[in-house]
Amino acid sequence: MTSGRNMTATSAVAYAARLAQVDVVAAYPITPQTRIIEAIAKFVADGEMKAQFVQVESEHSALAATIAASSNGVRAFTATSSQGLLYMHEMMHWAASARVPIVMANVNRAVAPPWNIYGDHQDAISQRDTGWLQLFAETNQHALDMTLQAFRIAEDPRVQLPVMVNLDGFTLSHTYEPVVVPEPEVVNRFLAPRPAVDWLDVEHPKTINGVVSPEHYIQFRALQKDAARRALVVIEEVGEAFAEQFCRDSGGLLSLEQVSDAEIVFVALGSAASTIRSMVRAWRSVGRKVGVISVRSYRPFPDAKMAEALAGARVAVVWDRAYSFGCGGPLAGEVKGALYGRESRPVVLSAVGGFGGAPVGPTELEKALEWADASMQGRPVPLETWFGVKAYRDGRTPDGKE
Amino acid sequence: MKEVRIHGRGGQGGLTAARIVANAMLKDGKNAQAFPEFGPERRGAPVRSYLRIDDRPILLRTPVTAPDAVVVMDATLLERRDTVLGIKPGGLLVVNARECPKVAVSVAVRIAWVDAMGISASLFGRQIPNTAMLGAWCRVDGIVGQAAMETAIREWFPAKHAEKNVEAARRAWDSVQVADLAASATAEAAKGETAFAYLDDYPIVATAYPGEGGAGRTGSWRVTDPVVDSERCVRCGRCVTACPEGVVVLTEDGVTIDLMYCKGCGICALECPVKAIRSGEVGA
Repeated sequence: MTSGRNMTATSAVAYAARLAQVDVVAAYPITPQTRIIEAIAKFVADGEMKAQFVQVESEHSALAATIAASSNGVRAFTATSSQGLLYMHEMMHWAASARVPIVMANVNRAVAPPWNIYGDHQDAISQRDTGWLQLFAETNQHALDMTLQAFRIAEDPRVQLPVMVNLDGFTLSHTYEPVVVPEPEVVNRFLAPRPAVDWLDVEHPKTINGVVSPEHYIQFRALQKDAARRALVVIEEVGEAFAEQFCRDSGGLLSLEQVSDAEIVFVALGSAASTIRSMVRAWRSVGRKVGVISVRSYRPFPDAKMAEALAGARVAVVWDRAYSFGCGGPLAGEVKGALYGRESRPVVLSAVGGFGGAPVGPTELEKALEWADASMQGRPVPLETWFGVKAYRDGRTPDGKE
Repeated sequence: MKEVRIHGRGGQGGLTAARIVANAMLKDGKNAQAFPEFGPERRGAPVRSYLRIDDRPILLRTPVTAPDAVVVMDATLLERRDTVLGIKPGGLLVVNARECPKVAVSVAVRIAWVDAMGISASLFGRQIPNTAMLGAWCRVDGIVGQAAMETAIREWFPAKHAEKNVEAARRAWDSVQVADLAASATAEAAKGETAFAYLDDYPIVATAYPGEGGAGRTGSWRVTDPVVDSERCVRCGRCVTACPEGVVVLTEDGVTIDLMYCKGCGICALECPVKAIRSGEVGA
């Protein structure tokens, strides 16, 4: 028996912002995110949400206004996608280093050129080093649940950092599936009002985020670094508190399925992990020892937990829907980094694909499993494979590094 | 798990049909996943929607490539090879057509047809075939019973439109016809060489040259044809400036419209001050 009602992940996020009793929303429309702020604008216009909705002229301004609001101690939210997120880049660094606990939904979309409105993770990954915490939703329910958790994580005095909730464009943002919208009273028991801060107060004027000398600059970075590491603890605590309150597992750092005895483990971010779960269940039913790790927290990156989870595996297939040109799959690189120095560790195969809306589906995953099998049998295989790419005329394929 | 693919044109309500069934499924304690495939999502453009139904939560998040049922809201879409592509042996093909449509399939399927066009025209005065197609599809597929289907339609539409849509579904439920369709060798036609068969065929950046757009001759998107009465036309040229596609040209005799690219939006007919243009049946 199912409950809830059919809705898109964009609606689910809008409900989360409403349930979180956000005070200020400043945003600019962009496909596939637009439906989030459309829904919030309607909630505000209909008097169902007591927020100030600020229409701005660009994403840069959207984030600047959100930072200003959050610096005044109120709960602030924004949402964007792709080019919009990239346009925020300067303010992305500002938000994290100014330690404002903003929550932003990023509806993952490919980056131009060529133009493409469909899903991949290049937008989020390109903001990796701005200092934002980044969570990835697998389902529409996660999009709602993670947004609620994101406020509690961001505002925790041990953290005080902005959180980006990533949800895959179209695959989640425009897909209708059952979502349970919790009652406001229940959410209020989980998410208290934002703890009071006294950063900006006209009665007591002061300057924040001014100029500092080299001696002091690094001190602020060290505080920021420690806060981001502490988020590893806070994200797990908040995930457990959420599970207890709502009886749903939709938080934490990693979600493991069939990993403990698996020979081959897939690692992925976002909705691709959901499709991989369905394949893992099918493979298990025919006796294959395959598991999947869904990376729910990309920043902070749970390196120790990742290494422990992969300790018993022989091959890890890490799926990247983004790329660091001239280097490799970002998630694959981080998984390899997590395994550094560990005695017991798998071979890491870097699967690259699902760009610009291309599927990470049964066809690609069956091929990836064959590849992992070949590696496990000791046959020479490339360590990186691009899926869905044509061959050159001379027969070469873009597999492997040259 | 049951998988359905709906082919229609932007504005025909294919996604709405999928969502109505999804809501009926949820009430029945099942899980559903309804989603559109986004492309040139303009009125008249070929669009697809997908529906998955299962007793368990649905984890698979890819387009439906091997559908149990294919619903075709506009029979002209059968000219496109991808419309019936991947349909499962013994699957169901439901088409908006007055007579059994001629279509080649590579596996044996059941074919159903209903005059959703006629039903829509008589009830709504225009082409919104989705609820009629929903009625035909539910009847022959058996996924939703008639009462549950009608409840889901009533709950979807505002009260003033609900009963007409229920009536459309009911008429289609009563009039849909079914036949067996054998596999055909012609369905295995060559895939056709793409201009970009190899990676080195691509330029280093995406490049387009002036000419026919990627969507091709968009005239096939039309569900109505503009018909000009040159006796009435006063050659004011308002239709020329109003046409969003720039396909109306002023001539000595009045106006001509390039039907290769006209999408049948009807703006020219709406803007004409002397009612010299009307929206008529396609190809009439």
